[in-house]
Amino acid sequence: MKLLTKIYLAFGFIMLIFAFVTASYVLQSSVIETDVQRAITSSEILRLSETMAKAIIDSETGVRGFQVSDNEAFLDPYYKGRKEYTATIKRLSGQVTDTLQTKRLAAIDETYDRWLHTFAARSIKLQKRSLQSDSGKAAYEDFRINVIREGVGRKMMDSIRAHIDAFDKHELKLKNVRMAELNGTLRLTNNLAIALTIICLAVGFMIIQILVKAIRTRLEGLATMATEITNGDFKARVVDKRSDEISVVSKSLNTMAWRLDESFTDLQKSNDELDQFAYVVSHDLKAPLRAINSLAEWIEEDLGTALDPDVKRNIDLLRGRVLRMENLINGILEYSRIGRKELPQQHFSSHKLVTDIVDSLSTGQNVHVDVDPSLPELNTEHIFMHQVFSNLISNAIKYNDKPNPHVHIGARELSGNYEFWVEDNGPGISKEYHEKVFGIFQTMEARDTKESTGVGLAIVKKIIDEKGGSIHIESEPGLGSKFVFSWPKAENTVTAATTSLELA
Amino acid sequence: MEKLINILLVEDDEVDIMNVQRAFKKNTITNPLFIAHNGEEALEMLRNGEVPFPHIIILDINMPKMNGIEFLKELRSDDAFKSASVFVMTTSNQDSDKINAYNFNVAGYILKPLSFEKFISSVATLNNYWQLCERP
Repeated sequence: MKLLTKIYLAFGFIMLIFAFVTASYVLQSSVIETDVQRAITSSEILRLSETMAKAIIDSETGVRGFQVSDNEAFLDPYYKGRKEYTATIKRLSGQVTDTLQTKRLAAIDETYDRWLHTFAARSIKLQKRSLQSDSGKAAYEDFRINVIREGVGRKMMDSIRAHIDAFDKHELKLKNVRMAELNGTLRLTNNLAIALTIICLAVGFMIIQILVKAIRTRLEGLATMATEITNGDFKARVVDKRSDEISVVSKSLNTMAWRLDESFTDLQKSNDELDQFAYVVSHDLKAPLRAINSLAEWIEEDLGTALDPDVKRNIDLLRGRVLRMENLINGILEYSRIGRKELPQQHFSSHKLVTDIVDSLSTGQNVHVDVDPSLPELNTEHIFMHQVFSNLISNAIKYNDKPNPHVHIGARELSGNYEFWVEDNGPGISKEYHEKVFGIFQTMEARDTKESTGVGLAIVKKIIDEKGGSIHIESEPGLGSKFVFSWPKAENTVTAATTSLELA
Repeated sequence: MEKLINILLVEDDEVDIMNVQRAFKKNTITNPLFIAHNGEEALEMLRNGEVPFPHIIILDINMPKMNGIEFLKELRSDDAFKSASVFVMTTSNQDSDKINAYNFNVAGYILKPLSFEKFISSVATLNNYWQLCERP
């Protein structure tokens, strides 16, 4: 699976949970709304029930007032109460949904209606008639004794009151239940929201952890491999069996390492071939030379005293050229070997190195070599430094044209490297040759005058270039020469920082 | 009578053979000198008993057919010549050749000097070694 797909899936999952949280919250909200609505309805029913009870009492009070006072004005509350009752019962029956409550309401309505028709309306009618005629009086009196005194009206009212009481009680109970439901729903909604948020956070954190771990481990693998390659291990490979964006990088890196390894192997092969060539040159070219030299020597020996001076001179010249040829072959070999082989680094005193070289050179009595005590101790290839100094010092003595040759070797420390110089009081070199003398097979004088191959300075230059230093000449004809070269203090080793990835 | 050690020179170059012969003559070395022109020939001579025991071998490295190193390998695998004294004499100054030679337990390694004079001193040293060997 692609890495991006994984990330999309992970975030998609988290978003899905959030959507679920929102949806359930909306759903719960509508449940709460219903609960609130029902609680409000209950309150309204209780209020209306109170109004209804008042209206009933008013109408009864009106009837009683008239019965006591015989004044029709006292009937006002009766009429008002009846009107109020009609309006209220209508509204009430519209609000009540509970079947038990509806039955109670019907019982109230039925009893009140009975009270109105069998008691109230009859009582008022008979009383009004009794006020107008005596016959009416008797009828009313009869009603008063048989009905009112018997408490028929009061019984009906008591029944109504009992019904209303029960109705109110039940409604209050309903209201409390609804309030409890509302609270429960609210609590559930809160708990659900908290729980879902926690789950969402946990899942999200887990997914991120897994993703980060997977990516980090693999990136670290890539970094390790890159470091190994930087340190020269071209056989390093990354193992990646997945197929996503990182594996594309891994594959490219592996291909790169493979190519590098191949090129390096090719280079190694051609280096080995060159070594083989150098070996062949050293052995096969030198063998016939040695034979020529031996034969010339034997001719000279065998002729003994019979040797013509001209022939002897020619034989000497012949042997001189053979020697030069051998020196040239050795020079080429030495030159070609620089930089192809890793040489060991050593810690040594350059002062001791130079004094040893001066001691080993068979200098004449009149030659004065002066080595500065400031020559430093350093950590580098001893063989390279030996070659550089021995070439420069022997040149300074060999080509010196003064009766008292003087050579001075000095050094000073600079920020990143050391600067050394070999100064002489010899013939000097004119400016146009300052660069040219470092070319291979370049000599200042005819090869016969001083036996020289023209390889020495080329070797010096190649070594210094190889080390990353530089060399130049400060000289004018007749004023001596000063060869100045720099030598880096420490190897510029490529130390690949072990990259530790800080992703999480 | 002193028993003389036989010397087998394994060398392909005619001038080098002359070189050794002249050096022997100059230093009055009278030990019998046998000459083989390559490794194969030398092995054959040793196995045929053409070179009687005791003997010392002076060996060149670069030779046709069978070179010095191959010859040493054959020689050391043969029980009869396991402990034969061998001096390697060659122009090769290559480290790998020297290491190869010493791995076959050689008695000495002589770098062929270009001048004849230097060579004589090498032969004189060899001669001293033989005299030590000849002592009972």
